[in-house]
Amino acid sequence: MAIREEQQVYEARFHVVLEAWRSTTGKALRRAIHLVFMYSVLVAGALFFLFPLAWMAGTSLKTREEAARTQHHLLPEVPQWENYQTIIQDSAFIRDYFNSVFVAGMVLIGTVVSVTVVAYAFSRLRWKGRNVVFTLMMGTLMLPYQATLVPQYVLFYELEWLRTFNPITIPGFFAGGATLVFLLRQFMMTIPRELDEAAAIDGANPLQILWHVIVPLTRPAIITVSLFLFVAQWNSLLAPLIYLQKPELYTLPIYVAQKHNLQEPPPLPWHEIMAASVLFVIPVLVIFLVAQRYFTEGITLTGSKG
Amino acid sequence: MSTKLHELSRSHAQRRALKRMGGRERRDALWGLFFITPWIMGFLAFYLMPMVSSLGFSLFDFTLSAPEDARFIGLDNWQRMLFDDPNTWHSMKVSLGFLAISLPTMLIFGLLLAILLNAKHLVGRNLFRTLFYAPTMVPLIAAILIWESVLNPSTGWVNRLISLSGFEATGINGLRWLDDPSLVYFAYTFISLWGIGNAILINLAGLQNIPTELYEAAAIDGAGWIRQLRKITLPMMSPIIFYNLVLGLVLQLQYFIVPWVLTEGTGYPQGSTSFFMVYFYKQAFTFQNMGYGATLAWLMFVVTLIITLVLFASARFWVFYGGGRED
Repeated sequence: MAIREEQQVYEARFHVVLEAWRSTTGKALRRAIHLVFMYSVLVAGALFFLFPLAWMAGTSLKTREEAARTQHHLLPEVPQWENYQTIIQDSAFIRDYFNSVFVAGMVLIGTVVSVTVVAYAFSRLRWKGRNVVFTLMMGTLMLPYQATLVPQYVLFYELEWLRTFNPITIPGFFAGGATLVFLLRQFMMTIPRELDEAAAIDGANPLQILWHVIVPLTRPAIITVSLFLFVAQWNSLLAPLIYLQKPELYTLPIYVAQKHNLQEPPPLPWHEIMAASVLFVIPVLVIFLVAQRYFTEGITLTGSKG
Repeated sequence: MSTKLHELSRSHAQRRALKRMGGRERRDALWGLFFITPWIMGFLAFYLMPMVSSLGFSLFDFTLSAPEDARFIGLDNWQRMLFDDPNTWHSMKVSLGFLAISLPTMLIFGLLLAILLNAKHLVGRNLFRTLFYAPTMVPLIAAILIWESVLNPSTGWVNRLISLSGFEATGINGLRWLDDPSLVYFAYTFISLWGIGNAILINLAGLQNIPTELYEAAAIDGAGWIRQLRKITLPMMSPIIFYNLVLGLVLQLQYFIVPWVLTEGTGYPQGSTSFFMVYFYKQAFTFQNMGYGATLAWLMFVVTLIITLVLFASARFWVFYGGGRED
């Protein structure tokens, strides 16, 4: 009898140990499979996304003839560092660089502030006609901008804004960017309403609520929006090409596009186009690396405490 | 007696609360108008006139090179577009067909990559995130060369990689990405994937807003990865997914730059790349027929608006806002 009991206890213990062993190895195995899967997807993806940049960098170091070949190798036969020297010593490149920084900076400041305020009005405040105005704003996205290009040109002509930065910088100050307003609105609508109510009971007015409650909680989104704006402006080719009309005002994308001149004898100077493109992308990459810390830091919203 | 007093006092308190709420509502309305003013001003100054003008153009026989000869023709442009011009519906079908392939691909990849990049203990997280975003910064001119070379049937990297797996991708019977009508949308979707960085970033910003407690609680309850995705991530991300869906729809319907630079608007191969905006651009700028071009643009407006309104109406069933329902 006693022996039997002892045996049962042993068996029970054995089961417990076996189960524990099973569940931990199962967990570890699952975790290992998960990690292998995750990293292989990410590495494959990273190679895919790295490709255009590697291509640009490789081509920027080739000779003119080598860069124009169809049979493509990523690396140059002999790196031609003087391609970069040619670009940097071009006074037009430096001038266009400064123009680009100025325009992108102006657009960034004006648009981020106005877009935040407008998104707040669309998401957290109730007022008559809100849905109508919101639909109207979304409507401005749905008409292809090429369709309004001609009347818009006439408008800026009448305002005597051609050959200035105004057509590009000033609309930004009036929340020009329905996509960004919509994006911020979506983020602001995820914030629990109790937070504004609590602030309102404490006597805060909507401006204070925006500044002390909403902006801190949507900071990742606001920084993301700023980055989009900067990159979009930095890359923008069409509007500067149409409105600036004066070499002293040209921005970098125009500089790169002008190198793609089909009137010149072939082959196209792809090596210089790519060298300029690399110099063009680097500041954005740096900004991205710096800004990243801000939009990826987690915000823990413990609903009740706020 | 006491109950009556109680009722009285409650109704009094309620009335006071209501009054306060009424004041609050009025105040909110005023502040709302104040905050919306910049947009209204910008709309009146920079958008309204051009939009109304282009609607007006659609009623005119209006050639860009000879604006003084513009002639009012009523709804003739509209009639031609809707009933007499087979290109209208062909190009609309091309745009909608491409949308059906590219939009889901972009939505799914954008979300899955963001979730992977959001993993807590990921080694080299910043590096991965930068890499995934990097192609969106490549200037258009440089990008064109890269697309054409990469997709070249005999020398392109895509076919050379596929050939490594044993499949005969190069050569005469190979995969002619940009020349085969049945492959060309996949080639364009592939090109679009390089620009997915924006969607990934938006999703990453959205993932930051999900309280980590939810996942901890779910893990304690024994919910696996799939369950957590379905029950926490997707609902919590629904406002952001909704944004990507609506904006993706608007932008993809206006898909233009890639087919334009790759085919110069010829629609090659077999009209499969005559997207709606390519057709619009040809009419409005190549043929300088601005009146008819404006009519086409407004058709795009109406189609986009209808689909968007359906999406907004559907939002109440699947989009969850922490700040309560939108109304």
